[in-house]
Amino acid sequence: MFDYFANPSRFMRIANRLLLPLVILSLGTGAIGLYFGLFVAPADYQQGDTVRIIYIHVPSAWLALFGYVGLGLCGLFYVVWRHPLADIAARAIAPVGAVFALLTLVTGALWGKPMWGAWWVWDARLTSMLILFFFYLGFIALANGFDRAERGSRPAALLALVGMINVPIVKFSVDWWNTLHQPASLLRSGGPAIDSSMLTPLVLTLIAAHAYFAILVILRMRALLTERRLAALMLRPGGN
Amino acid sequence: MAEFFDMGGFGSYIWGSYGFAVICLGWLNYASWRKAKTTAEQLVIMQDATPVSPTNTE
Repeated sequence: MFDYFANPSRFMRIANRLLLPLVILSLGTGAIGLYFGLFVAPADYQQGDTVRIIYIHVPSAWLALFGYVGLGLCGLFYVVWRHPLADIAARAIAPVGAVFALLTLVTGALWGKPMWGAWWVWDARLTSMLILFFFYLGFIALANGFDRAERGSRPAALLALVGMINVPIVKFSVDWWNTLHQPASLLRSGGPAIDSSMLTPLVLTLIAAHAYFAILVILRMRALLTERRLAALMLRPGGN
Repeated sequence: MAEFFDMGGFGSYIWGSYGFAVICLGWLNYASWRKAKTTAEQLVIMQDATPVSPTNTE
């Protein structure tokens, strides 16, 4: 099955067909989720209206982490099987994941200042998230740091793999250390610890963010694959 | 309405977060669509300029 989908043209044909449903899903769930999050959901009894930042902060953080898992898996596929599509996917994921990681850090700071009294603390969760962001930047720098793009693929893939160590640290930092950041509210034993009035918009914005992430990755993969074909055409005798 | 934008005094933090998200994600979206579009256009130009051969039919 892996071989079937690993064919770049077949993969892109399927991905392109998914594009429109993903756009509809992202816009629909995003609009309804934000409407409920900003207008219908109540303010938190402790945090007041600042809790509304959760509807961008948490989806961004999830996507930054999931994106990195994707990057790491692509790194593994590239290092082990040398499949070019894994390299293309990783290159497409990295900038999108980096933006989501940056968004997590900035919205976290904007939430931290009124609630904790500080834009930033060297707390385990915040620090590990910052490291995740740096791993993304490192991948982008390595992948694009060579005259011929393909030469950067292997070192970048190895870096992506090394960075996988950080993923469980980000996730479990709030359990392993005594952090200022609150523990998990959704993925925890015993089920979500959020009232349904806040959980509903959060789940909707999470779906929207996943769809949005997928759209961006598909578009970037399409551009990267076309670039490779352009480069191949240039190299051909008779090509200009 | 003013009360809604004030967000209990936290308006600048909340709208700052949403504004930054809109700028980042909007820019990323625009850049990704544009790159996909321009590369596709370039490929059409290149393929038109390249003599057709059996390996060029994909």
